[in-house]
Amino acid sequence: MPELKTKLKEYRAKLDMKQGELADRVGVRRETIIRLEKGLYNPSLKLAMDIAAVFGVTVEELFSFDD
Amino acid sequence: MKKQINIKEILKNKVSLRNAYKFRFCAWAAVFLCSEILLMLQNFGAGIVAINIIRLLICMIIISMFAFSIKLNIENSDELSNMNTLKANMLTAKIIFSLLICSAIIIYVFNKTIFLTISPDTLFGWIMLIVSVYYALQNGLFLAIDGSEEDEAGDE
Repeated sequence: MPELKTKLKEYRAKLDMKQGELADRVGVRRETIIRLEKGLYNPSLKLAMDIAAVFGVTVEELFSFDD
Repeated sequence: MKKQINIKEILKNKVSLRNAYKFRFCAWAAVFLCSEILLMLQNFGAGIVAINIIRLLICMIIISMFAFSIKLNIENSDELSNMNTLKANMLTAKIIFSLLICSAIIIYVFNKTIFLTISPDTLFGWIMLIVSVYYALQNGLFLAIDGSEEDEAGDE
């Protein structure tokens, strides 16, 4: 099964945003953001789009699958 | 100088979902222990005062749990916690169901009517024992599935 890769941490670092802040903005818990960054959790389409909207990028730019 | 504790501030601040689950786990584990003690006291014919104190203690723990859920501003659950709750529920149901089947087989094999008799006096203790095992297991499994202590460390 392909593994989910994310650039969440990089984009968050660019905006100097903490995990908790991002979690509040997209309406999830900080644990969810931690799991996402570690690639341990596949987000729902809504969550992926909400996070992408926060950073002003597309979902494809933020998330990709490791071939 | 001592820092004053503002109860209003404490009530306003959000309690993390994991902490709420930890509290529920500890409370149900305490109910489990109290139920065990209650059944033992009844079995050994302890005085009614001691039995009633334990009964009151169980009721107080359960009431405090409800008060905690109502009064405190517990963080909303999200899609990950919903999924983990579902997983924990399913696993708990499987474990409890397996335990019941195992108990039934043991009773059947050893041909004993029942190891410990269930009388109207001990019914409260038995019900609390089963309910507390179920909820303690459910909350404990949620905590185990949801994440590690490492995740609770400082924000990056």
